[in-house]
Amino acid sequence: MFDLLTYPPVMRGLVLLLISGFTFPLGGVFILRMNILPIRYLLMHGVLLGGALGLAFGLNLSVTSFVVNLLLIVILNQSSRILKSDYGHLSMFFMVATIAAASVITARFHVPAKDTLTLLWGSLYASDTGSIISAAAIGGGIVLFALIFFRYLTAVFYDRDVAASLGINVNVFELIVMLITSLVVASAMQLMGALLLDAQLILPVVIAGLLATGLKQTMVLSCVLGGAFSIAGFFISLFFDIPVSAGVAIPAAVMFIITIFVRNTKGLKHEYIKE
Amino acid sequence: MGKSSNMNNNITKPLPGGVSLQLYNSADETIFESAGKWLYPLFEVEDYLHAMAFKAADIFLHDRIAGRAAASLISRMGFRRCFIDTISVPALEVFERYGVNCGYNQLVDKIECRTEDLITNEMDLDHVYRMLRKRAGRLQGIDLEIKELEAGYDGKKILKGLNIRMRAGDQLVIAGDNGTGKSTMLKTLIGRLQPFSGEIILGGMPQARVKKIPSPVGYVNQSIKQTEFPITAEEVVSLGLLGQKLSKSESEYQIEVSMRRTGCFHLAGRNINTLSGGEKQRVSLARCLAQKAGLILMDEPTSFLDRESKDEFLDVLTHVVRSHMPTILLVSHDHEWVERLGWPVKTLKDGVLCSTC
Repeated sequence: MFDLLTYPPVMRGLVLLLISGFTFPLGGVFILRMNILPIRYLLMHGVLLGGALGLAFGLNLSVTSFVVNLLLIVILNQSSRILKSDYGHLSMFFMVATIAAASVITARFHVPAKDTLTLLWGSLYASDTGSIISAAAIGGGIVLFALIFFRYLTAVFYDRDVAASLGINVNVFELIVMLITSLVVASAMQLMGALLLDAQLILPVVIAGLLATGLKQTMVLSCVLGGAFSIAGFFISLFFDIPVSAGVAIPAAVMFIITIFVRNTKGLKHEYIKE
Repeated sequence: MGKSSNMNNNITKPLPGGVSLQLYNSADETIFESAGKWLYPLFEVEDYLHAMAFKAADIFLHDRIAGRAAASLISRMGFRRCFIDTISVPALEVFERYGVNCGYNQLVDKIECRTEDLITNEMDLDHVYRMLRKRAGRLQGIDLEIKELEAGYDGKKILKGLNIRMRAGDQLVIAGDNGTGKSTMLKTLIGRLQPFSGEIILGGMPQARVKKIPSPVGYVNQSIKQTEFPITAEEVVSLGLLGQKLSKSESEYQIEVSMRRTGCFHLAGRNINTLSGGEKQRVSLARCLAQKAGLILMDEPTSFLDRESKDEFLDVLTHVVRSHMPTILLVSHDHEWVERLGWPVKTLKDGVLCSTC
């Protein structure tokens, strides 16, 4: 199994998985804490629109997807402010509008729909050095952002009114957080595919949230778990010859079930002792 | 000429060189001394009494010199007995007025100090205290002035020409029914809402020109917001340090001091979501102290507190006011609690302060 690592695409895949596994869960923390889960579906559709545009006009698919997602986030954020509507409802609307636009472009420019849809499945082993640099830049960027703006993040996550009283421009800061999150989601989608990106982005954060008592702990634990699931998942996928994304999902799901079980058992014990 | 007839000889001995003030316990042992100048030793005494939870009435104070300002501070702290090496006639009058038994070595007509000239007979102890703390740079509060403020949502005017003026260190309760504009007022003051017109002046400066971070405005809201996501009490208090350039150890010290002052240091590592309403409010207040907020805004802080928690929060709040003297604007419709707080109350009705309702 280990001799497979001598193949450059496999090795590159491992490096990518390590980078994303240890850093991207921070994006998951932002998504869960800001309660913007529906947005990641919008971003998935954004990738499809980006893919359709890229194929139609011969552009770089990754860059186009990134740009489309950034634009979608800006439009969503501004619409939410102007219309005073939450992200959940608006992202549903934009999701439909985005897929409609992707469909029109696919039909109008005769884009092979199958090629666009492959974006949803991820392509870890098809990645090149550029993908590694891009993932490292995004991963490093989000870690730096979390380190530098930890108190800002804590404030906005804790209570927006308190954050405003502390002098933070909450709307602008939230927009920045969402833009960074959209980059992470778009990048994770290329690696893991849209359908299983939650295994790397969301599950580690959910488990960390159950174990940690504070935000700093949650962030660190999410990254550690994300990295551990990625390494374990990579070798599971090699051993059982299954897609990497599924390999990552297996340890993450097992750990989630164990955590829930242990927590509930502890809770029951605690209640029993109290009684 | 001196007066020390009923006092212990040990206490009436001149203070050692370099020492300007000493405190003695009931066994005449020295428990505190200061070499500070002007009124600073007395402010140190105030901090010391608070830190040690001592009552001034049980302690004997020996000061090198006291004019009217020092006498006012000593009386306000609650000392019943003291000895002053050199005392002025006005200071002696203050002690007599407030029933402080004072001995002295030398009586002079007046202490030559500009502060003495600023104190008039019309000023009560609180007024003098506030003025002295301000001169000593120990008054945390800032002035707040709201002029003809109009604000609301979606173009709908909720505040209709609101006027409020608070001096640094003042406290004010705004009462009123739901929908009268209390929350709108607070949201405008923290910058979440832009006013349609009017002016907000903080510490003598228009709100737009006040430095955003670190912010001088602290905010304590209702304790209902509950999320599944963990965040420790210490992390919440550390938010107050946003924009303050402190080393790691200074930050830790500041957080500890703030949490101790509101009696929540033991909760530092606990997830805020697991705390009771009263504990959460102590943490919020500690956050404002860490922030060194000159103006603290409180939005219905007792809404979800039980009777016992309300009592505890009242004590903590009273204590914070006494020790830090921030300007506090509190919004509440908990009439009973507000009455026990003893702060001035104004009622907001139809977007304006109502003096007759």
